[in-house]
Amino acid sequence: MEIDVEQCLVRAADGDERAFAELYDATAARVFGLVLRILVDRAQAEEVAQEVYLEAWRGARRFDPDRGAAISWLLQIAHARAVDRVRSSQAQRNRDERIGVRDTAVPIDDVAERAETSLESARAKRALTELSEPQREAIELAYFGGLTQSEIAERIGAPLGTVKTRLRDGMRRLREILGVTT
Amino acid sequence: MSNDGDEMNGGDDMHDQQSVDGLAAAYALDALTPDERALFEAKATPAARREAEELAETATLLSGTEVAPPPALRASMLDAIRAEPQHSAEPQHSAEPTAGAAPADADAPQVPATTAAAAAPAVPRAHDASAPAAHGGHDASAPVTRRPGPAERRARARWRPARVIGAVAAGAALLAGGIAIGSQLGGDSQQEALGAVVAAPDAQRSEVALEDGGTATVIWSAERAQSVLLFDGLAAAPAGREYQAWYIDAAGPRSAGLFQADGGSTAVVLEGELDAGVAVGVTVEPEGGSEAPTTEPFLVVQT
Repeated sequence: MEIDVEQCLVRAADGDERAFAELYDATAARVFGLVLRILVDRAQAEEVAQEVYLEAWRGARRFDPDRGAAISWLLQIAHARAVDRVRSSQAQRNRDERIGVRDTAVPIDDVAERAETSLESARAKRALTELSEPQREAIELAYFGGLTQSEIAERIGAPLGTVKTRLRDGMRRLREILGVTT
Repeated sequence: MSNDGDEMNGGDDMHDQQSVDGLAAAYALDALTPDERALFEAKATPAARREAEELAETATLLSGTEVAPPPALRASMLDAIRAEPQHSAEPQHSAEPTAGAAPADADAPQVPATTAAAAAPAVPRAHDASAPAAHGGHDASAPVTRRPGPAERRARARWRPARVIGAVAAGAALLAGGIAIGSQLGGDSQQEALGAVVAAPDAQRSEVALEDGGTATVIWSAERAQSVLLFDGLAAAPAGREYQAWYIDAAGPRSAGLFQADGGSTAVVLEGELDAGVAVGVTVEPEGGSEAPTTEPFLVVQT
């Protein structure tokens, strides 16, 4: 990466708007890609992406470069925001319309036609294939579908305890495969 | 229920602990209901919080998809941040430094960092980063009267009105006049009550340094007959115990509600009516609360 996004975020914490713009340029496609993947609806994804950056701007001081990468920090904010949005009913409706009331699990290539597949994304997809099918399903329903563990249990007709175990074991396995970025 | 080792558990407490800690992965995936999330944030062990933090980071690797946002978004985002105050690191000012202002001041410059860090499960865990709505700037007189920010909307969306607010998501600190308010406000009614008290024309406040570090601020409005307690750095109550607030007057103490804390920021709107001149106290009580205080209050503030 040509620019040091961590430094950008640290400088943004001191009110450096240019640094924040650089941060945006370096990360917006990832953030937007995630948010769009979850929300499907483009207009909503744009709104949420803007919320994410506003929140990052306000809370930049909370970012601690020793505790993780800036992109990870941003993506965590983005994920929570997008999931919030998807859980609000109107968003859910729009989204269901948009994807034709399909399963909430957005097929992995749903947005791929206009997405650039990064190396990292390829790696993540590969990692997902190393999980058991039920683990992969549970994690995708949670992470991309925005479902709670209870909703996942209901949807797939499995006991909640089973879903918890799948999420936990699946995520631990992913951590092993992908490592931790920092 | 997560299972390895569950069978070995020695009792309900341990069982509960394992079941709370077993939420780490779902927490990392934002796959918990608000109640479950609150439970995890309030009760998870440090190891489970660390795991949640790591797994949240792992999860971000799943989303490698890149989609360029429309160029207009950049411009609109940059416009927006210009109008947006950041969480400042300016020291908390003690309106009435009742007890040792020094520790409070020493901690103050880190308020935002502290609250974030205290929300162990994730530096930015959206909730924490949900930098709340510091829109109001830092003017103590009008801190909560701003339009709802993302954090507040989030709180509204995610938190059911609760009888008493648990101190949960330490992160979201609404920095108003140097006060960090947690994001755990339960629903609109709590949000509104908090805003109304803090913004009341006759609002008064008293800030006290806690013995174990951290600060407590009581804000009350006689006109509204309400008060709120704000803590920064109040550690979790020991296992099996909760904090209980009291209004204490000549007739003795009456309960003003139970709440939890987790070392981060905690905001509690007290239950019941504040009568002129009562004291506000907080004790540690067995879970479920007590009819009358069973321990010495660690905080008493005269209104």
